[in-house]
This record gives sequence, structure tokens and C-alpha cells, in this order.
Amino acid sequence: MKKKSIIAMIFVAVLGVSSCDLFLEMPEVTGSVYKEDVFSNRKDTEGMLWRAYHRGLREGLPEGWAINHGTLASLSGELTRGYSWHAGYNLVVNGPTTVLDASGQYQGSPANFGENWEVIRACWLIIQNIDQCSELTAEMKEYMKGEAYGLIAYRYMGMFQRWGGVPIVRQANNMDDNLEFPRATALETLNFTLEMIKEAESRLPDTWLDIEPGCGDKWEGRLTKGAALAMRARVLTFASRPLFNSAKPYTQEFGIPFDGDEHLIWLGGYDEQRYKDAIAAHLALIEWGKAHGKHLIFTAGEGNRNDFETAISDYGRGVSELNGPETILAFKIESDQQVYNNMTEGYNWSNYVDAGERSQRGLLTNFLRLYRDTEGGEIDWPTTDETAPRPISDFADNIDKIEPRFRVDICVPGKFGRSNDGDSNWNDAIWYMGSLTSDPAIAASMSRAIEGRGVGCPTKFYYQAGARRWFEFPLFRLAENYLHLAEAYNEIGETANALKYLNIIRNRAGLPSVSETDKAKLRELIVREKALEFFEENQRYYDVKHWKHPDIGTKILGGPMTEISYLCIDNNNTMEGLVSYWDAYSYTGYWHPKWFLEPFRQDEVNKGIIVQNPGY
Amino acid sequence: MKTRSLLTGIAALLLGASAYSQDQANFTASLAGRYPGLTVTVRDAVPGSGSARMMIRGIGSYAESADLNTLKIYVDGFEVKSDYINYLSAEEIESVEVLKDASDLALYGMNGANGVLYITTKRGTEGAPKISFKTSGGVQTPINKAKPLGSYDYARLYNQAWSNDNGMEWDPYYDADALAAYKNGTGVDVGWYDEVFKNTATYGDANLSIRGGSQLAKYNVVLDYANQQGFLNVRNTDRTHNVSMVKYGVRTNLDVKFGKVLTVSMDIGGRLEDRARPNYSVYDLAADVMSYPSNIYPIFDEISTDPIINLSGTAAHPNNPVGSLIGLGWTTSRTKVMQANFKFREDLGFILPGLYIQEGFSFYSRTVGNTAKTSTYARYIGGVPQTADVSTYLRSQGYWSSGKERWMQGNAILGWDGTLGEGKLGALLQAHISDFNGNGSQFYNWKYRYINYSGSLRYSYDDRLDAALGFSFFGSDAYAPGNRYVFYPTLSLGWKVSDDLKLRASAGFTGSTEAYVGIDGFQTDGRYLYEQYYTWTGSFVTGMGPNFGGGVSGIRPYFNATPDVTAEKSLKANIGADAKVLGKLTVTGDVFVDLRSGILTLDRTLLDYHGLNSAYTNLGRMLNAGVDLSLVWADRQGELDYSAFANILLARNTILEMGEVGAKFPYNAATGHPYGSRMGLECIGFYELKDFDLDGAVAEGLPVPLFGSVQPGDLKYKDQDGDGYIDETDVIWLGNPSYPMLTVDFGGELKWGSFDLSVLFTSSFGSTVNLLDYSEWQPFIGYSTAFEWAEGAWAYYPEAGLDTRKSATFPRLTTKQNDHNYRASSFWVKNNNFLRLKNLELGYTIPMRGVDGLRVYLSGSNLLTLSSVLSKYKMDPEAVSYGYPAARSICAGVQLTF
Repeated sequence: MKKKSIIAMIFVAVLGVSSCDLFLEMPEVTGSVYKEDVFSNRKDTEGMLWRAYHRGLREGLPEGWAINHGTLASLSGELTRGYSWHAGYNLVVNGPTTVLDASGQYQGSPANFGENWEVIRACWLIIQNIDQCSELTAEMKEYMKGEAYGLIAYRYMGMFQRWGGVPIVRQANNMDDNLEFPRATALETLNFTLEMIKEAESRLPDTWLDIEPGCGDKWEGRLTKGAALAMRARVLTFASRPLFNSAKPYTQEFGIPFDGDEHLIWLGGYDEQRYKDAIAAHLALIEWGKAHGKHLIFTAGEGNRNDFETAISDYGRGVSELNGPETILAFKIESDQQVYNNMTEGYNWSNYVDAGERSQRGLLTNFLRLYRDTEGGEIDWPTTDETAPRPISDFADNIDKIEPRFRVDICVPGKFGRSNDGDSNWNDAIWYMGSLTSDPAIAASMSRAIEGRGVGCPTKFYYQAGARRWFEFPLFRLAENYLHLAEAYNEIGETANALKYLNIIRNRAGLPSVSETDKAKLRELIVREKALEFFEENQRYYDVKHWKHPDIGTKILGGPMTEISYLCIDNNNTMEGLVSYWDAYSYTGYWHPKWFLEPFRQDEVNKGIIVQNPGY
Repeated sequence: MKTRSLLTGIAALLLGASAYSQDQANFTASLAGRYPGLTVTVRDAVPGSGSARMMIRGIGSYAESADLNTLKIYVDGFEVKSDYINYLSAEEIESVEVLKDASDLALYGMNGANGVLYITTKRGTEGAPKISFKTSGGVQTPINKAKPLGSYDYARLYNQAWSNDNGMEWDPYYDADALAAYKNGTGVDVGWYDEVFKNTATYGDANLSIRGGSQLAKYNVVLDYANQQGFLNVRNTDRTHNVSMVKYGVRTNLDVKFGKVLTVSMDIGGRLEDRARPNYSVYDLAADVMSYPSNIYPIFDEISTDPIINLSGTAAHPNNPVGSLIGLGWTTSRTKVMQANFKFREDLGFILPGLYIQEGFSFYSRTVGNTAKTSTYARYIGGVPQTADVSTYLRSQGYWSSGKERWMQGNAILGWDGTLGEGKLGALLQAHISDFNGNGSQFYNWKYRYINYSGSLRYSYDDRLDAALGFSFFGSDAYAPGNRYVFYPTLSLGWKVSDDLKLRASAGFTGSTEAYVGIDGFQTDGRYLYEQYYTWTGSFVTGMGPNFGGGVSGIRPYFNATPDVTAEKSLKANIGADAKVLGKLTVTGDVFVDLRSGILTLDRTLLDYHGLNSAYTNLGRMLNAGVDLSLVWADRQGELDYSAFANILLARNTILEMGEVGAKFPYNAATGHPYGSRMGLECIGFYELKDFDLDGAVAEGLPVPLFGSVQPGDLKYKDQDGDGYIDETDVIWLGNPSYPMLTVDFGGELKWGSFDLSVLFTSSFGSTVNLLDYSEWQPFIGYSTAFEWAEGAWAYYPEAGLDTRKSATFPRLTTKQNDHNYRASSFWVKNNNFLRLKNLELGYTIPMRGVDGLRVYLSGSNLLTLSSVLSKYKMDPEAVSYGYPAARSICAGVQLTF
């Protein structure tokens, strides 16, 4: 029957159309990207790497969490703690905590544990998939794998310094994997980091300059073989230091109860070989540098001493010059400027860099006292014990004789700084730098004029920057290797070598050589030199912990922090307006030996796999 | 031809002839209290603001936010969005059914888990045309008016807050002269609330329907108009506009019979909704009114000589509320929404008696177009502009669109109703195909498609025993091949014990595809999670050039793909009885459970070193159980016809698993409590002076709070674990969620001669409000104002004659953000039980010649509300919000049928 067949056909047709699975396919145009796309072309494959760089190298910098605003310098007694809403402020007041704050953020430690893994997994993804990309040469693929290994190593190095042993991840994410594996020991973590460094070293190029036809300096700033060598040198130095490399773990030394395996936080004993390994690694980097245009900027040369002006220029260039000869790797500020914005908040300062708020991180008197005069003598600064402010002429005399690095790094009222000579925007007689007041009553009471401004504001990294607002934060700078060599040689009793490398840095800074042979005294000289040379470079926070520095709880991380304050007339902060200055108590920093290592977030520990570090 | 549910289902009862009595345009709001199992909560009274919150038998899954309607809506067999039914006219509606148990939902597969609201429109009937005309008009008045304090009280309390923040030494911010000026009226004291909101709003509607037909063709045509104005204190002029909605609806339902076999139905229901409002969000305006202090500035700046308009304003309070009404112009939108259905039904009795086939096609479309007339105004203080704004004349903005949706659905049914031995047998096979095209603003909502093959086999023996098997084999495009189709079987049984007692039982599976799922600012609706996506983000700079603004974009993986992700599953079981007692009382009672599994959940238990610890998996489980009871008593006493009814719904859910990280203590966990439970600290009073040592630190022996420093008058919390610190480990379960656990709706009807009276009460128990969800409860924070409850603040300033230490009902005031006091705690969680006279209608039918009926009536809604949230906290217990008030309304109408 005709009707019947028509009806049947309609029914069958409807079912037929609908049963076609194509109907339920995801639309092709979705505005998103798939893995096959990413690794099918050079631009997107590189994009994976850029993201890994973007996140990877900000370890320890603001937004890489550090302390979110400013840098670790606010924790380690270099700069003031910033505003009360800054995470670093709370760390200074309360120390590290494991719980989330009211807004659900975790700001209890200067680290973003989770971000490490995002970077590490992304790098593994690159390593595992880059061979699919047909638009890259085999050579370039190897370089990029090297970079991925290098970034993995970089994050592991950071974790090793902060937490000791952490879980070891050897591949990209796979939901089917067993994800519940525990922390590795500190030694396993160290060895894995070294393994990654070796993978990186064997693949990375010596330079990116002209690496492809016509590319010129387009790729400068990526990891080189030198960066791998520098990582090895640094991680071996941290492995050699007393926190990890000692007869017993710090928990026993400081009486911190710990139920977990001590090998998570300690290398299992003292081994002098660790210093020797570090020495070899540092020397290897310096040797590599000689062959590839990377060297300490030291005009007078080894064995000689820079004069004052040359020291200003050499040191200034060393810490500020973009892709300069002394820089092995720098953080290329990412284009969304988050790190930049949060770092300059109270960090480096000029009229170019939006003054005002940004001067909320002044130099603490605690750190000011480390600077010597140009002949290596101590400088007599006011103390909180004094009963009256000192005349400003005393301050002028002190600044006139202080060593060159201070003048490059700090801009103070009246004398300003030497970072950008002749540029009034860097040497402006406006109110923001330093803790200034026009109120004689404040001076009479010897109280602090303004919290956070201190003796002056930092200008490091901006040597002769002029109107350039951005800067590149040095991650590896060759001066580090000289000082770490001095440290290691001293520890194994090779005093002459220790002095040799220490004096290179001192002479470059315009200071006279020292000839101290007492191991403990020489160690203190090296420690002090490291502080000054690497002011603001995110090293002191780790150094003093891994040295188990005896003053850590009383003068550096913990203990009373004091700030110089000034009296001036009519808000005039030139020498004509300044009247007197004094030192005033500002706040007390938190310290507890549990903070030798940082805590894991409590909600991560609650998952039942990660063992919390001792004391938290 | 009941294909929407199995015969053994309970569906819904339609209670009362006046079920759709409307005195506002919103249809969904008018469903409240009428349907057993359906909970309707009216969100706000802003004209045209959209659908009421609807839940069927409580909440079964946390996958969608509690504020969204998770039920599915079908009109005449095809799915629609709630946008479509929000402003339907009651005249169009034949019936509304609430499909809620496994039997009802057997055919719905992944559309069934949260219940279905099934609406059938009125069709034509055989006979002469019946014309019905109805018009009504009325006014709305506000239920809740929460007005900020006037300048004097504001300033007086601000002095406390200021002193509290400055070392607790009396240090008034406003001196005696300023206070005196506020008191005697010479200081600035603007009642923004009364400037912006007025006390009445008008409503009017009219509709005309013509219904009739012959054996061959039947028709029903409805024309509909409604006009609802809002509470804004502004006239509709060329420059300004009240918030309002005007709707124009039209429906034509036609059934034409071609010969003996084929019947064709053609339905078109469409509507224009014209909304207008000042060119400033009504919600933002209400927020400004509720946060701007009275003393910030006078409305107009007398010194300004601006030729256009001289409104005051400052940078901290830039949006002069009156300026938002009169200074910015107005904006209008037109929504066009339409559903057109075509159905062909062939009776194939010539092949096999009782066999039929039906094909249907539905086309749904919704578009929104906007225009505006805009201006701006300069903000003056003392004649000086305070912001960069400059006053401009009104100018016309072009047209822009803000919505385009298209939905095509096809449906084919093969059915047979026959007999088998002494029993009746029915069989049904159905294929439903759906293609929804969304706005495409996100990649996942570009299109939604599903295919549902469903069917049932029903057998009833001797009209005493019923048994039905149902199934749905449902495929959704949200999942990977292999996980797209899920089979959902159902079994239901009915036993008619006697004419007065019928027992029912059903159990079966349904599913749900939608989930309010997003992370990293990446909403997915739970769709396409099986694909691993990558996204461009975080550029990096190489080379020697400037770093800013340059760089090459990076790419990273989004959250982890979960290849085996599929639909959430619901296992529903229901046991019920329908009984008739004394011939007058009808009881329908059900006990139900709904066990959900596979709820799409962010797995928070993944360890950080997973890398991207954000993977959505089907790990969630929830149990919802309760009792659904409806009672109807109907009787006649002489001239008096009367009936009374009650609907009682008790539904309580428990989260069994939601990927919560193992809390430190069992009592910290939200798992094991109803979804949306209030969690927080237990408040045990205020800190007293004696609780602090001389340095101002919390005294020795008291637990130390870790949410910022505290001082006398701050809230004191209980240290649950006794570790000496008040922190996250002291969080406990504080109370029920925002939605009710028990609702009791009751009412009745009287008919006496020509008079009729109907009444409906709704009541709700077991829900809470968290006052901290409302900035009105954080006085002075962010330059905001204060309300009467701030008067109860803890204060101790003997030098100013202030000592509320004994009587305090509010923590000490502050002008600064306060993480300690203003955090979830039992202090802020309040029960929200209420009883409401939802509707009262009195009618009189005038006998008239030549007319079937002429009825005049008076109707009122929300006439009476007993609620502590209303009386104490000035919030409507349904809308639970401040600002734009909830409305009660009274209207009068005429119905004429001939």
C-alpha cells in the first residue's frame, strides 16, 4: 500500500538521520586548540615553550608568588616589608603558615608549590611531543628539548632550596597514571635535578646569536649551555651548605620534632666532596664563559683594584646591562608585566617608574650596616640607643665615603644615587625617598618618621637606564660563581683560592683586598660580600638559611628591624633642607628554625601523600 | 495519546480553577504553591527580570549552581528554554504537569534527572466559536523597604567606627556642629531610597481568545497583552524611562483532519517582549541606593551653571542615584521568542487497530535587539566637576543584538494501544532529535545536540494491575564517541486495591548532561571535557628589544581532559498511594529517593604535582529523599461548594562525595551535609575589654584568632579543636542551605451562588540566609552607608556616653575591611521560615443574557507575609535581597465569555 510505505519511509528516514553519529560530533569550529594542532607547527610548538619560560623563570619572583609584591629582599632584612596587604608583610609578621587566608588564597609561604608542576608537566609535554613538529629542524628540536629540560631543572632547583625532597615527575600528565607517589628524598631530588641539567647541557647551544640564518639577536635571552652550567654550579653549592650537608639534620640541632624520614630534608651526612663538586662546576662555567664572551665586567682586571668611578661603572653594568657579558640568564620580563608591576611596587624607583607607592620598600638600617667605606673600614651609623639625632653633616660624610655599590643600588635624600648621573628623574628632590619628616617633634622623640621608606630607595638594575622602565632581573650572574668558589675553597681549607676569588669581587667593587686566613672570619667576610654584591637579587633569603647563619633570627630574617629617619625643612630633601637623621625601631621580623625550609600548603598535605616539613 | 509519561506515573494535579490567576506578567511566578513537588521561588519584582527559581522535589545534584533552574521544560512535546514560558499567558495553557518520579520521567533520559515541567497548550474544541475576553489592572506596592540611615544617624555611628579604628580612643570624625546640622536639617541629608523608589507600580493586561471548530478543523487563537511598570521614581518621557516590560503575545493552535487517517496540527506561539529601563542597570542603581551615604552631596549642585544638568557627584560616589534615573537616558530591548510546532498523526487502524504514527517538527527562535537613547552628566561639587564626565544632550544609539537562539527538534512516534487477553497493552517507540544553536559566545555553547530513542511497554490487567517498562537510549554531543549514549531503563507498577485506594511503585534511571563547570575563567557547561584543549596565554619576550607590549604568545594545556566523562546518573525510586477517604478527601502521597552518581566534579583531591590539578570527573554522589504529599478535600453544603487542599513537600539531600580534600577534622567537612549548607565558625559572643592584655593582645589562655588583629567588640569564635588558634580547622556546619527543606502550601475555594473566593498560602521551612552575602551588613566598608542594625553595635566610650557592652547585637563598627568579623560564622546565618498569603481572589459572576459569563473579580497577591527575615532584616523571604523591593499587588479584572 502506497500510504503505508510512505509512512514507513518517513519513519525510517527520521531514525536513519538521527542514528548517524556525525550528528553528535563536536563542532569543528570551537575556537580552541588541540594537541595535534599545537605540535603540528612551529609557532604553536614554540608557544608551549614561551609559556613554560613565562611561568618557569618567575620562580621566586612576584606573581611566581615569592611574596607577590616586591621580592624576597623584604624577608631577608634588606628592604622593608611593604604594605600591610602584601603577602610578604604577613610573612614578616607571622612567619610561614600552612592555611589559606580568608579569600581562599594561600600566601603563607613565599612559594607557589602548584606552579612548579604546571611548568614541569608542560616541559615534559614539549619533550615528548616536539618530534611531531615538522616545521622545526632536527637541530632546533634538540635545542628546544634542552630548554625544556633546563626549565624542569630550574624549578627543581628552586624546590630543592625551599623544601628539600619533593616528588619526582618524569613525564607529561596522564590521567591514568598513579598520581599518589610521595616525596623523594633530598638526595634523590638533587640527583634528579642534576640529571635534568645534564640533559639540558647536552642539547643547549652556546649562544642563540645568529643560530638560524638571519635571526640575528632575535632569540637572545633563551637558555644557553651556560645557563645549564650555572644551574649545576648553584644547586651543588646549595647541596654543599650546612643545612643539607651536615652530620645531623637541622631538626635535631634545633629540637624540631619530626616524625617523617629525615632524608626528606637532609642529605644524610656531611661530605666534603660536595664542596669539591661545587668548585668544579663553578670553574666549568667560568671556563665556558671565557670561550663564549661571558665574563665578569672588571676593567682593572684580576689582581688589580678598580678606582671608585670604574667600580661604579663595572658593577652598574654587571647588574643592569641587558644581555651583558656578566649575565648568564636574566628574567625577560613577560609582556603582561605582572612580575614587573609587582616587583616595582616598592622596588626600584624613579620618576619614570611611577614614584609614590613604589617607594614603600626602603633600605633597612640592618642591611645598611653591612656596607663599608671605600677603604674597607666600618662606617659609624646611628643606632637606636642614641639619645639625639645626628647632624646631617654626619650623614653626608658617611655617604661620601661609602663604597660604590651602595651608590649604584640606593638613592638617598640629599646625596641621591649614582645609577643615572645627571638625570634629574633619578635624582629628584621630591619627597618619596627615605623616611622624611618636617616635624621637629618627631625628630625630638626619635621615632620613625614614615614606615617603609628607610634610608633610601633602591635603584639597582637601572644603571644608566634613563627613561627605560623595564629591566631584566638577573637570574645567573657570574659574580655569584666567584663568591661561591671563595665559599667552597674556604670550607675545604684552600684559603689562598678562597681569597683569590673573594678579592676579585672586592677589587671590582673598588674595595681593597683582604688577606684573612682564619676560616671562620674569612667565611664571615665572604657571607658579607655575597650580601652586598647580591643585594635585592633574591639570594640572601636562601643563603642565610642554607648557611644556618647565626644571626638569622636576630638581625636578618628575624629580630628588630630599624629604619633611618630624616628631619628636613619644608619637605626639602636636598642637602640644604636636611637637618638631622637618626635610627628608629620599625618592626620585628619573625623567625623560627622551622623556617629553614618552607611549609607545604595544609590542604595539599591533607590529601594524605605529602609529608609536611618539620615544625608546621 | 499520553506519550509524555507512563500511565503509572503521578505527574501533577492541577488544583483550583483559578490556578493561573495572574496579577503580574511572569508566568513562572504564578506556578507557586499549586503543584505538588514543585517549589517556585520568586526572585525579584523587576519587570521582565525572568524566571522564578523552580525546583522539582528539592535539589538532587550540586552540578549546577543552586540559582539555576535545572528542570527541563517541554511545551507540547518539545523542549524550550525557560525564557519561553516566563511570559506565557495563562489563557494559552491547558495544563501544567510536574514530572518527577521514574515512571513520569522514563522517556526523558538525560533530560530527566532534575524533573520535567510539561506544559500543554489549549487546543480548539468542536462547536461554535467561544470568545473569551479578559482584562485586569492593578497596582503593586513594595513589601520590604530597607532604607539606609539618615545623615545624623550615619554620622553618629561613623564616629564610633572611626574611633574604633583609631586606637579605641574617642575621636569623632564628625564634630558636634556637623551632627547638629544633620539633626536640624541644615546639613546634607538625601534619602536616596525615597528619591529613587516610589510606592506604587502599575500593572495591566488584556487578552482575547477565540476557540472553536468542526470535526474537520479546530482552532484556538489567543491574543495577549500586558504592561508592567516598575518602582522607579521616574516618568516615561523622551529622556527618561521607568523599568518596565510590555508584552504582546499571539498563539494559533490548529488541528485539521484529512480523511480518516491523517490529522495535522499547526501551532505557533510567539511573543514580543519590550523592556525598557534607565540607561543604568537597575540592580547597580539599587546597589548604589543601598550603599551611598545620605550626606555625600545634595542631589543637585546649586552652584553649577551647567546648561544641561547640574547633578552632584564625586569620584568615590560617582553614580548619583538620581542622576542614574534622569541623567543617562534610557535603553530598550525587544525580545522575539517563538515556538512553531507541526505534527502529523496517522491513525493506522486499518493495519492494526490502535496503531498510530506521529511525526512532529518544532522550530524555536529567540532574538534580542536593543536600542538606547543615551546621555552623560558632569559630576559637580560646588560648581567644580569631580570626574572627567561632561554633560551631553540625549543622543540615539544604534541597534545592537544581544541574543540569537535557534532550536530545531524532530520527533517520530510509533504507538499501539490494543488488548491482550483480558488486559490492555500499549507500546510506544519514539525518536526525538534536537539541535540547539546558542549564542556561541563560548565555544562550548555554540551548539547542543541530542538524540533520544525512547519507548515503553504498558500492560494493565482488569483495570486493577498496571505494569510498565520504559526506556530511554539517550545520546548527547557533550561526550566522546563511546560515552555519548546511555541506556536508562525504568520499571513501574500500579495496583488498584479498591476504587478508593491505588498503590504505586516505580524505580528507574535518568541522567543529566548540564553542569555548571568552569575553571580558569573557562566555562564549559560540562561539555567536551573529553578533549584536551590548549590555550594561548602568557607571552614571553626574547631578543634585545623593549619588553613591554611585545613578546610571542605562549600556549598551555587547559584543565585535564577526562576522556571517559559522561552524563550524571540518577536512580529514582518512588512508592506512593492515591486514596480517597470518606469520599471527600483525596490523598496522594509518595515517598521518594533519588540517588545521584557521576556528578561532574572538580577533583580537588588530585595532588599539586599532577601539574594541572584541575580535572572534572564523574566522581560526585548525592542522595535526595523525602515525602511528597497532597491532600484535597471537596464538598458541597447546600448552596456552598467548597474545597481545600494542601501540598506538602519534604526533601532533604546529602552530599555523599564531592571530591573534597580530606579535612583535618571530620566536623570541618561539607561532605555529609545538604548541598549549599552554611559552613563557618561558631560565634560565642563579643570580645570584652577583659579579654585583652595591656598590650592589646588577646589575653593569655584565650585562643588566638588568625584572621587579623582583634579588639573589644569583635566577634568571638569557638576554638573547636582546642589548639589555641581560631583558624580554618574550627569551621563547622552552621545551618541549612538557602533553599527550603519543607514547603507547605495550602488553600481552598468557596463557591456560593454567584460569588467565588479562592485563597492560597505558601510556607517554607528549613532554609537560611547568610547576612554577610549582603553588603548592607558591612556598614561603612568601601565608603558605604549604614542601616538600622548598625545601631546595635558594640561600643564603649564612656567619655561620649556610649556603652552598649551589655546590649550589643552587632560587632563593633569599623570603616576598614575586617576579615575577622565579616567572615562566615553562626552570627550571620539566620533561619528563613515564612508563611505567606500568596493569593486571594474574590469573584462575582453577573448573570447576563447572551453571555456565557461575565465575571468581575478582585485579586491580591503576597498580601500578608509572616517572616522573621522580613520583620528583622527587611528582606523579602523569597527574593532574599536588598535594594529593589519585592512586590505585593492588588488588581481588579473582568472576564467575559460568549
